[in-house]
Amino acid sequence: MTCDAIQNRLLALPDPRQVPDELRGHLDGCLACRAFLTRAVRLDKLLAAIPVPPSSEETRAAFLDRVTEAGPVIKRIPVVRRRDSATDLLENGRWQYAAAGLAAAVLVAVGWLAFRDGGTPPSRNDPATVAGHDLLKKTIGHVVTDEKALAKVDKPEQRMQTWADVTTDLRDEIGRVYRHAPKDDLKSLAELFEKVAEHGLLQQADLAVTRGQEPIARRQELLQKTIQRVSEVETDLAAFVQSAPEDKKLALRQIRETARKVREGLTNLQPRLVGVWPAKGV
Amino acid sequence: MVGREGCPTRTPDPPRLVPTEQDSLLPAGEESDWIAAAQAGDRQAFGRLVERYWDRLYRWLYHLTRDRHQAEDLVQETFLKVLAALDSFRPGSNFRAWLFRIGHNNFVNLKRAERRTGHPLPEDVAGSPVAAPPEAAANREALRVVAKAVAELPVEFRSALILRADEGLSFREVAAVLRITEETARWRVFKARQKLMKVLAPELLPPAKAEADPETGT
Repeated sequence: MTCDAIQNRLLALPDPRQVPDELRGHLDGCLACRAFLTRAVRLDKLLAAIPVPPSSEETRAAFLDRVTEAGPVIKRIPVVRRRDSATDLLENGRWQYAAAGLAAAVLVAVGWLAFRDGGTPPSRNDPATVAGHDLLKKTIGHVVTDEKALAKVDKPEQRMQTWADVTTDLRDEIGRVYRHAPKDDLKSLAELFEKVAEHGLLQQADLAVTRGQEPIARRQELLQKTIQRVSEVETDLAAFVQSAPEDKKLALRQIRETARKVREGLTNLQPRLVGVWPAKGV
Repeated sequence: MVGREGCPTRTPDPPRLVPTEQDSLLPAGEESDWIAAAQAGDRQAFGRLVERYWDRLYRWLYHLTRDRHQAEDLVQETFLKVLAALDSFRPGSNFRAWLFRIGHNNFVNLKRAERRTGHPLPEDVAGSPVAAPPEAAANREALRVVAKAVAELPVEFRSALILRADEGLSFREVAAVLRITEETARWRVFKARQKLMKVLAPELLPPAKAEADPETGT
């Protein structure tokens, strides 16, 4: 084997300090390759010793405090930003990431709550990336405020209602922004609406039906009211589509389609409350 | 396909993605206990996991982002997602690889957002990093040169190299974190080392140590 081949083999080792027997023979007789190995070992040591700026103790401590605080459900845990982060975010265009972080927090809460009750594992899709926009900032804030209410409720039926509140609030905010928001913002809102309505509301409704704690009649009533609310959201979204500028219609249609799917999904849950399970494919 | 004696010949297996970072079993230990407790709702146990991995995850994410604040944000986002998905983690699997994989996903998401918005991730101005290991004091210049060269590596190579050389993950674990095949993980580490060796050879071996035993460093 040539020296080049030996040296390449050395670089491909998991740990250059642990040389396999088949290479030792060559190394014993080759000064150049032994020197090469020495440098390779030193390189790996240096890589492990590269200093990096330390993480802020304050940030870590604040984060730890939040994740370990007492409470029945871990709700929104805001990412702890440094003190000047609000100004930095807005002035340096890092709002996208902050907003995505807030949206991610909502999505994390959705996943956590859904999964806590034995639902399907939360989606690992990317969080909705919300482009910077003042109106959207308010939207996200509003959604997050509603989400805080989720911490106070334990029963799936109640969470279903709260998620229905989040869905209708999101409809309200969409109604306020859709004429003026950039197209990309609406696209991000569409993704967020899908997460809230499908992974939040519909999943909780399923749990309310299958594992609810209220009497069946009460659950039927709540489910019917939720279907009605989503139906109204769907109707409103259809109206938004009609009156929106052309370049906004696609995103709004997507949101309306999500609402339609969720309404149908909720409707399909109704027979399960009386023990009549729909056949597969029906 | 049938071979000479009528026996079917085996076509080579395609490279295997390693979505099985959760397959490598770790011995039961306190970390497994913490995970089990956290899955049962014990917040303090989850906090211990955060404390155990914060610095290591931050260090790797800093190497990827080259920005302290971005790295801190990503660390937090990662732990949030871990918390949300904790019940899906299979006990006995490789928690570290799973954690780092989520961290890598978050980093990739951030890069996508940066490309979409045209706001590139800022590079830290060379400041005065602290807390270098004591043995690095004597090699400050070498470290500075190495750090600069590492920062200039393509991020795909850099992420694999640091996972291997700094965090000590096996190639299999590196593959699991980065969602690549084990062969690709090995190749990326090899290419990263090869590039660094070419750039840094004079700095890596002071003349007085030319004959040192590579395996003991003496």
